[in-house]
Amino acid sequence: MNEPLLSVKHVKKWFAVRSMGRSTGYLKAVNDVSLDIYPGETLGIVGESGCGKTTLGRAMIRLNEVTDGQIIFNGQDITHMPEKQLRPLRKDMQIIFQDPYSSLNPRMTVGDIVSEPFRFQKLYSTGERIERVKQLMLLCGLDPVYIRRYPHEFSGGQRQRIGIARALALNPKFILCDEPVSALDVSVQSQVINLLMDLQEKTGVAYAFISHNLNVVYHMSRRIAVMYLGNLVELADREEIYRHTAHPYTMALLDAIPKVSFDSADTLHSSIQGDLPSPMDPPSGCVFHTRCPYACERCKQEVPKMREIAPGHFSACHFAERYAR
Amino acid sequence: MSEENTLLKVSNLCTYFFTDEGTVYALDDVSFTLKKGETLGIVGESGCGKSQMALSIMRLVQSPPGKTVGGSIELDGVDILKLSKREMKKIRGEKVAMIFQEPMTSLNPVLTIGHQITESILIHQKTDRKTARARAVEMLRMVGIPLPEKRMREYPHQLSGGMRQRVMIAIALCCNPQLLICDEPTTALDVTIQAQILELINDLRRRTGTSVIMITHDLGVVAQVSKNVMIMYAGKAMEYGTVEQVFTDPLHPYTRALLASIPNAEEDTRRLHVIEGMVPSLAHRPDGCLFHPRCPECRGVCRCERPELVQLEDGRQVRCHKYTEAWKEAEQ
Repeated sequence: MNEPLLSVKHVKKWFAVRSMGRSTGYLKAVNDVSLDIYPGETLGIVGESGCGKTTLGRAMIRLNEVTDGQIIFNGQDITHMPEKQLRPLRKDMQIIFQDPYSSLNPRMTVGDIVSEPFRFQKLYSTGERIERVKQLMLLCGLDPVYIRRYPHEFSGGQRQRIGIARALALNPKFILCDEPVSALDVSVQSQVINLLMDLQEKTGVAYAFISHNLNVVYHMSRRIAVMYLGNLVELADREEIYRHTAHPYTMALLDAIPKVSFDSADTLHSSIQGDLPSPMDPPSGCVFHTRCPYACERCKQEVPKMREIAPGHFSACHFAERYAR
Repeated sequence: MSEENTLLKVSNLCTYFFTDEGTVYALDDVSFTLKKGETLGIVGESGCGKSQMALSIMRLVQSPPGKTVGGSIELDGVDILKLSKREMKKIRGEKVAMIFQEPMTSLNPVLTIGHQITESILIHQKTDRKTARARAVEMLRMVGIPLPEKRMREYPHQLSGGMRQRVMIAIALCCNPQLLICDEPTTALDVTIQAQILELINDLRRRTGTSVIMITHDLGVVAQVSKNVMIMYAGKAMEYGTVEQVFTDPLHPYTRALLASIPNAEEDTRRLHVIEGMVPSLAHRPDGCLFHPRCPECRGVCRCERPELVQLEDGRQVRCHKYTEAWKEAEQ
């Protein structure tokens, strides 16, 4: 296989928690996560709220400083690179945010928003910039006559298109999509998903696609990483994840999706009970053992390692082979 | 179909908002019936009027600018639109209860869980504080909250989102209502917690015989919990039928497009179906069929004439010109 575009190696991100001005512990938002993203592919990252998927994503493009570990982008270690040196590299890594309402400056026109990356990177003359912005708007399905309009004049789906146009402005190699369709209605959601997939075909950009919606992630991604409480629990090709699930948490997630099909009535069952434990005080051993239907003594004591159970299929479960479907 | 079994009969309900920009037709001529112990799912995209439906039945539409201008809502044979404010207060909570989307904002942050549950029991039932507390503990246990006695003394912020929603359900059910309206009860929750809550609602419905109206934008949720489903678009009911009928053989072009636009792991399609355009503004509605600007099967008649609800033989209803006699004649 060719070289990965982005490598995350044993990354940890711990937030110090203070109460009454004193440090009282650490919130382990991301705990020893390693993964690679290859050029032109989409890696889906799924998990419930508070599992660290956004923190990991933001660490990938250095919007968060990591506590420990390494991030290698395009062959260069960017983990502790000074901002000045990093700036030219930032051209190649962009982000699309979840909330199309708060991620656009309400006092800037669409033209200003989409051309802002050019100003930062000091590219093109003013006339060329306007031309480029118009091209980008067309590419993202927006009519260029709206170039002077403000974000509030657009619907949610259109605003997300503006955010996408801005992310694409510098022809990046990698875009972090942080729940880009979660705030949208189903019919608009499918428009944005199709747009993102078309753009990938045209430009060869790689995506890290963060979402809590497994169906959307499955549709978008080539490979899927499942996170639970700051830990990566399973990583494999999307087909593998769905057909040969090898972690009890992934199984529970898949079972919990309400389906529109009718194989049998009353198919709904929640195979895991209880709530997510506090990431301030994660369980010992395997972090999932408090909710796992198969947990045993070993799971309470020994932290499971990510292992390759089939080519390209990694699972962090002691008994992945025994319970795999 | 026996009439006695009907709990709720909504006929030609119209709720409009009179704003500076004109009249907003939030609900326009909506009718349905709900039998005892059944679940009806109401599905639609944001702004289609599904939440206004819930508020209209509770008579909680913000007024002004909103007003229920026509139709009737018969609960157990009584038209609740004709009741006085005082009589309505008795119905709310006692006969009809509601669960909202955001469990954090619908609980009072400065009162304990126990206080909030006993409060609603004391308002509606002639009982003393001690029995009310005992009943509250019992309710918390019923909705699956561990250590209910301890939780009674806690505040909403000490509970997780799923637990808060369970408390909301306990409050809603503490007076044994005949109808429970759930307005997007699981939208703010994670999938594994969502499955737990839906299972709980299903289970309680079976045990207590309460009828449920489940309002959601998630077609999967409706498929899991309800028997009948109504698809709404721009304030109007577009299609009605059993979940199985509507989801396996959708009749209305909007329903068909909506179902096709959900990403699905089972059927692998590279491109998702797209409904072009946007939901129309309810203040400036298009002429003719409200869906015609986005409809792939639109014809001349769709642009100028509002379609009526067509009753089909198998009990289904669909608001589309395609199923009228006139269209079929023109076809031949």
